[in-house]
Amino acid sequence: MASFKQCAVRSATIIGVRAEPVRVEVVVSNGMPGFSIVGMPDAAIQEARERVRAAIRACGFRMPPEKIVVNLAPGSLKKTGSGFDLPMALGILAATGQISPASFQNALVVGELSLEGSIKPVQGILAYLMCAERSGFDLVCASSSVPLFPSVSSQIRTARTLSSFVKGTFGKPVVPAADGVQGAGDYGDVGGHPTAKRAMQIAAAGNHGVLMMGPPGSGKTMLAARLPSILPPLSERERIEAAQIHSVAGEDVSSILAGRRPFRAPHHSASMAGLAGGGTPIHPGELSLAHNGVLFLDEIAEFGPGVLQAIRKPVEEGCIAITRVEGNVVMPSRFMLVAASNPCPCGYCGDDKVSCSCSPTQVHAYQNRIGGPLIDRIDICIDVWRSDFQDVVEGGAMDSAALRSGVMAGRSFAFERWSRADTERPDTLSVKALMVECDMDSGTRTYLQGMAEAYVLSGRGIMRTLAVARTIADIDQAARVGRAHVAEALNLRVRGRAGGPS
Amino acid sequence: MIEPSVAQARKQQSSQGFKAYTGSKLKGKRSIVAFGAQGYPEALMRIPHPPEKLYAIGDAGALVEGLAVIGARRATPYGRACAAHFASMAAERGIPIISGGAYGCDSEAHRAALKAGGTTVVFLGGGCDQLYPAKHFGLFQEIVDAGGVVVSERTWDFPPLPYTFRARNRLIAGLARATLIVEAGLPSGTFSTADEALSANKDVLVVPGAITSKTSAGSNRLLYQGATPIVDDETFQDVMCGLFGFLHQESYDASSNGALHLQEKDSADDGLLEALRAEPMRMDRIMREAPCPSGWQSQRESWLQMRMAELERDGLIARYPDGRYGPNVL
Repeated sequence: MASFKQCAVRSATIIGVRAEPVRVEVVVSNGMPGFSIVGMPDAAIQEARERVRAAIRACGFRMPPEKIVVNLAPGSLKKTGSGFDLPMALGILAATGQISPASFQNALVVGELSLEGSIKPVQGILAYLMCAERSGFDLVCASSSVPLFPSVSSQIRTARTLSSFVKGTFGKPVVPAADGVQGAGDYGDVGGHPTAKRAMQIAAAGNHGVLMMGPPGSGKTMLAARLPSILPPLSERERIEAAQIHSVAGEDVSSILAGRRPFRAPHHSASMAGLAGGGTPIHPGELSLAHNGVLFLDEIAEFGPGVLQAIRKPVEEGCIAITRVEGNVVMPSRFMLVAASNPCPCGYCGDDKVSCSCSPTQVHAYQNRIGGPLIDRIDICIDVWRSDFQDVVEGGAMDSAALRSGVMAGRSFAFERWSRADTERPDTLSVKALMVECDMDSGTRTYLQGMAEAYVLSGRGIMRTLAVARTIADIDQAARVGRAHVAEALNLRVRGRAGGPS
Repeated sequence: MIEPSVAQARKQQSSQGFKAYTGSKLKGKRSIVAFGAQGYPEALMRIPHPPEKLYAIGDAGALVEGLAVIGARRATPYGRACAAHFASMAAERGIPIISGGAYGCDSEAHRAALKAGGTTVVFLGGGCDQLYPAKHFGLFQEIVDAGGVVVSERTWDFPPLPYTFRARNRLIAGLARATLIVEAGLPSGTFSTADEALSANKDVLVVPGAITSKTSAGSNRLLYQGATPIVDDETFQDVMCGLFGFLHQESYDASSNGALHLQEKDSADDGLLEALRAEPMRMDRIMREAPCPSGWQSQRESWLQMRMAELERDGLIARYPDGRYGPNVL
């Protein structure tokens, strides 16, 4: 009796931070009993054979004593991950008529099997969900808490074990309770530092890169860590992008789904692959995890110069391309850069209370490393110094709520400005376009010109000043950039050298 | 003291964790002037332990009495500006500027002298082929090219060691008719030069600093001990007059390039500049305490931001390495 039974199940594999659809085709035919998988599977998928076999038996099904061939199409795509266990098992069971394919016919199936047949969640479930959404299918996955995007139209069916497919008993995803935007302190906890807080507000409103300099213990890290508390909440699209990346990386997504921007602070011992992403399979790095949020590089001078040089391009372009033999994988990385550094190796250069123990050469070398390749992305440079006793005890006058209202006012004003202009706003503006946006009167223009000459501002310096001045004017809800805005921007400018002996 | 050989000194250098200079050598006329020979500076004959030989690159004829301008290596903008200002004033009058070529005040003095078209003498701690600091190779070459001289009592390849700098200080003080100290903290290497100058019966001139400033504690202490204070251009000129005997130039224009802005009248006298001159402050404190004209009280912060930017533009204030804003004397 010649028999040839087949079934196809839809699934997907993660490439970078996106899930790409994959068809799992199962053919059960006469021949030597065996189980082979073709179509560029990785080691985890090859191991699936044992899990599938055991799970099918454990749930009371029969493993056909025939030749089983599983093909993962398209064949040119390299597939990774244990999410193919469930589609393969369902394919075998449906092909041999043990279950009806109706329960997963219009669905994308993804899940890992345990040896006793229970279905385990896989990393990147949100990426799979978005893939299902794009192709208009439902999603069948493990019954764990699947955080839902409000906009998702795909149905989600969750299953506990393989047996659920016989009876067709599916669950609904558990939606985790949104815990609101909280967790990262409040700027009210930071004593003193009114100038630094104001600079943070400007940076948050205009998405400007910030460099903070100051001795140890002056509050640089505190100021940076509170940045998410004044950033505007994530928009719908940004939320999906960020949550998808976090889901693929196996990180907690609940705070992102609650609208809170990610805050990533990689340690300075981080490797290049850890920052930019890499590995096999390709895993998103800190730069991608900071997408739509804040990347905080504390002690930036301590980062390996090679590492900083390597992440410069991704930082400029807003995305990371990892080139492999199988092709390029592009992952998004658009974030606000916040860097902090001591002024010298010991940290006390220029301090009038604690004497610095570094030689001028050391200070020079250290300061050269501070800006390094990322200085182009920094628009605002501030000194953070120890607060006076009085300030620390009394707490800060500006708290996050006050700062955030300024940020929101600035952003909405800027948005209104752009929507009034007919043209699409490009990501990076030319000096000319910036001048149009700033709409300065002739007095202010002369003022800026005088300043630029006196401070020997480079072209980039002028652009930065204009961009920061525009943001300050937005916070003030002023259509035209005035002298006070330019002056404040100039006081926040990035200086040629952060100070110290020449 | 028995002089170590070059090889021994090299050993000491590496054992103390210093690297030998491997950069290029200075180009210029090399000469060795022995004690008592033609061209040996007379001023150095009169000091205790005069060097037996001087190894010079450049014009050995430039080894004449001049003004030593020295100060801290880790100098503040104030110290650097003072060094440049007074060195340039002296150089314009043809007085050679003698210093040690170090970072900070020393190099500012050399640069200012070059800029003013004067000659300048660098006394190195090590030999003239073991330049220290190596970063100043360009400056040293410029000095040689401009008719100045880079000189040392050590043989060409002798490595710079901590004690050679102390020994070198006696030559700076010895060749100079007076030593001007622009900025010195406590304790300070600048002090040993001052001591050498005093023991050689030379004048010590000191630029005072704020008594709250750690970086000027040493100079103020020297003033207390009886050094001659240099408090403005006029006192400096008077002292130079007495030492070098040129006629006091009445026509000197105080507002010309290099004049002390401290004496310049600020156009809008609103108290902010005065406040910063009295005590350098950080932005936070300026925002909290600085005076503001009554018409601007409602927009106090905007006004202060604008004034700060203007004052910095006009070169009246500068941001110090520690983030404070204070008077700029450049």
